[in-house]
Amino acid sequence: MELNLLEVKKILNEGLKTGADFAELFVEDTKKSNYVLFNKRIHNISKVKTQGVGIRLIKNDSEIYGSIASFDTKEILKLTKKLASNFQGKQTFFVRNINKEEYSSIPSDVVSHDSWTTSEKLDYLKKAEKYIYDYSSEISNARLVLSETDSKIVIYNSQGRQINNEKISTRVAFVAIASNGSEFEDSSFSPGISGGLELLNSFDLKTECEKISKEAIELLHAPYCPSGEMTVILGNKFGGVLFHEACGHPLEACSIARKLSVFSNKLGEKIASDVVTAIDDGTIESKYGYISVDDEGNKPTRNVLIKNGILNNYMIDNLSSSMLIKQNQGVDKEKFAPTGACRRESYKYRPTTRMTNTFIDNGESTLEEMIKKTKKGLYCVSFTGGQVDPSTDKFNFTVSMAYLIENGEIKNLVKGAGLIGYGYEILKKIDMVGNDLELAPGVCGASSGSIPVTVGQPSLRISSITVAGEGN
Amino acid sequence: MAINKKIFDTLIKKASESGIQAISCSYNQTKNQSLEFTNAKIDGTDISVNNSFSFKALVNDKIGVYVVDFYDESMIDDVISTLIDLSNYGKEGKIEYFTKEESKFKNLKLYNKTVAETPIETLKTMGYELSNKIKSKCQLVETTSVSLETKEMESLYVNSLNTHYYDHATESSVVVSATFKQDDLVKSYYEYEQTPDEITSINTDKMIQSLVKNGMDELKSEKIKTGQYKVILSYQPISVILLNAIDHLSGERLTENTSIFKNCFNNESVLSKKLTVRTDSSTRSLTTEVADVDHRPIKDKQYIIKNGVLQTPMYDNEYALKNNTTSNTLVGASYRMKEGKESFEEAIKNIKKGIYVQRISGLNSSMNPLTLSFSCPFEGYYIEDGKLTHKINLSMISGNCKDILKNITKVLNQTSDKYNMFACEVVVNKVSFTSK
Repeated sequence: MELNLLEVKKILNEGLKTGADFAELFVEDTKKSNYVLFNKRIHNISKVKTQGVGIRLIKNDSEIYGSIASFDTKEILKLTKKLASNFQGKQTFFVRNINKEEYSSIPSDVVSHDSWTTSEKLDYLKKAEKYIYDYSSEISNARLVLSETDSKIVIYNSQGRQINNEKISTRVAFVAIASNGSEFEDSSFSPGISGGLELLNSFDLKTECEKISKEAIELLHAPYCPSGEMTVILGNKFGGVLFHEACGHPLEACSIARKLSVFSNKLGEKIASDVVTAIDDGTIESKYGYISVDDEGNKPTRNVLIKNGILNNYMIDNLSSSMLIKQNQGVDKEKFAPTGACRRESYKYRPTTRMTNTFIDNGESTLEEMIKKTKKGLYCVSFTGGQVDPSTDKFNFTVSMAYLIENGEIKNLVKGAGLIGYGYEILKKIDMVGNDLELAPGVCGASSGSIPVTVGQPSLRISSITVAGEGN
Repeated sequence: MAINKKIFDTLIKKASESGIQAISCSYNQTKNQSLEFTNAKIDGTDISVNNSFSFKALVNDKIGVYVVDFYDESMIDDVISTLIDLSNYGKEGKIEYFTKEESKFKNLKLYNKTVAETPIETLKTMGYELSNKIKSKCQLVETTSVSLETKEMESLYVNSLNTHYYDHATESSVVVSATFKQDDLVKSYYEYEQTPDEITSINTDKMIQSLVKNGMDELKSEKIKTGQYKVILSYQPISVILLNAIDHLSGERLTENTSIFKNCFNNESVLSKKLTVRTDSSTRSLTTEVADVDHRPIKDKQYIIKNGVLQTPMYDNEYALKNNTTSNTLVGASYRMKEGKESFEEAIKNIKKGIYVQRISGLNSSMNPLTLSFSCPFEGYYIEDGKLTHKINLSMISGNCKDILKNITKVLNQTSDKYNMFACEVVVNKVSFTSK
């Protein structure tokens, strides 16, 4: 996995030959396994190896990236030459020594992926499958997935660093599908950790399988959500996907430094209501978005993005940091220091600023108070996902399960709601934040690929938001 | 590319000696170069060569699949033992054998163009010019982004039944986007074009013209009243909706009881009688498939939907076996809608109040894949008295793919293959919209 150091120096110096001020090799060896049961059968068991090298050169904030599915240093050198030929100039930086650093996000008490046999893993999934089918005859299908990822990364860069990093992640997804013969609804439970098979002992399998079965059946009989402008309470945990989409992405420095975000040049300004404090924290061990080191060698931080409504910081990678410092004529360098937030799906992707474990912090209200103080609204309890355009901050996201609220009381269940708005408007309309913060795993897709993240929040209330739905 | 089927000879021989009944090997290599410009400055350059080797083995009538990024003969033992291990738990299946007629399929998409070798200097010049042109066309342009990409994909499929094919496709694409600012109001828009030919063949002037017009119109966008409207769906929304619905015609969904079209193959019009769809792999787009999911050549001009009547479930090898039939090579095909007679201009003339939906976004994250119901944002114009009047601000379109396809009243006469199929714009009665 580690490349020959003499060859590495030769490649990095080749990358610097035409005047680049930074060169980096990202060497990856990842193994992924997926076990899928569907409709009472083994649907798929697959093994995928992702192996190759990404080469990154930077000169005056312009970045050149190349990737190659090979560990052959001759091939890597050839590609590096091709990449370097895009710059014109003379070499001013030289790589002479390289010092190794070791990182690992593997927990000390990890239950490794190879400690269970394939049969044991399938038996576990079959057990979950049985709990789902046994719940009710209205359950028509169940889909059970176990995904395992083991990665070894070595980053070499022209600052003389060799960063070795080992990563492990595990996720399961249980989906219960209910049907009345012509219509379907589903509900899912999909925990994930930066860790191994210990995940499977961290919850009660029967309880969770029965819960999603019950929800799928309830959804089957639920009417569609009505549309209009409403007060909305977002439930805790995965409700945080709204902050992730509407505010997290526009606070990534890759958009900020290029002035492609509505939050560019707004540090220190009030962008949210007083009750909002938001954090990106890659240091929370074992959470799905945990990293021991980011994909350019910076340590993660607990980064307070918004403090009591004031924009406090961005998520910043090395390149964006350099661009922001230049834009501010070198003043307040520390303000734009990298926050350990540079990530990529694999060596095939150019890395950029990404989120890790991102959440709105606890407030002082309780969920009961929020419901009681809502005359007419919607309490959203489970969510599918969403997206945002960082340049305008227009977002949308989908609610799979919600309850109508009338005169301070929870009424009937509704399905199929969509929420739409501008993030900067919604942040100011959050008028109550609960004290029941919880985190939930998810997969975030953006320009540097799909990466594991955590979203989260306590229950919170938005005074007014546009809800789309097909119901009356 | 030095793709040569001989690289798999030893593996195929050893697999047979190890008790593997049959084995197939596919090798894909994608070369791409892309340049990104932000505000007329090169932001990023990517030059990549990505490989993928996929091995499929049949052991005791069960299939094992193993995918790796690179392969050489030193990995033969690893590949064989992994495939044998995986097939112990695998599904029933088979390795494909092509008939003599099907072997015409070889080299079906072999082009001489060297799109991926377009000099990077050509891309640089083009990117700077485009960035500056966007800015010069409109004073309200705040930021510009230009993304240029050339791609070339070659693949080789070889199996132990002495069948092989070679496939080669190319693609160039241009994305231009801008933010437009007036007072405190910021809006954005993007335009995307692709071609299997040289990137310079793309009409970028037309793209910029459309970008600026749409961006300016976005600044003047207005709300609409929540309610149901008659709509014209443009190429992107109808392609996305139709492709999602076609997915529910698969043998897999029908067999596993997760299709909204279960019990709908009864010679009756389940969808609008105006809707006819067949397979078509004639385009040279990179995204157009010439082979189905099992690497068999797709039968062209096979009707999937005819006058709203569903023609046949789409069976791949696996689900054909489960249903005691044979694969009809339709899974993973590319499709074409049959054009209608009316033009866009004629169709809009007859709409008193309606909506022209140009693009819907976020459908994949907002749609329930089981029910095909969705609520998502869109870009489009309000139609009044037969004319486009203004862009629509912050609204959502809600519906169900099946219902929308059922309520098509007209299929228009122009075709576009920009969105993974040959699609025509359509007129649909009564679609729900929510606005602030």
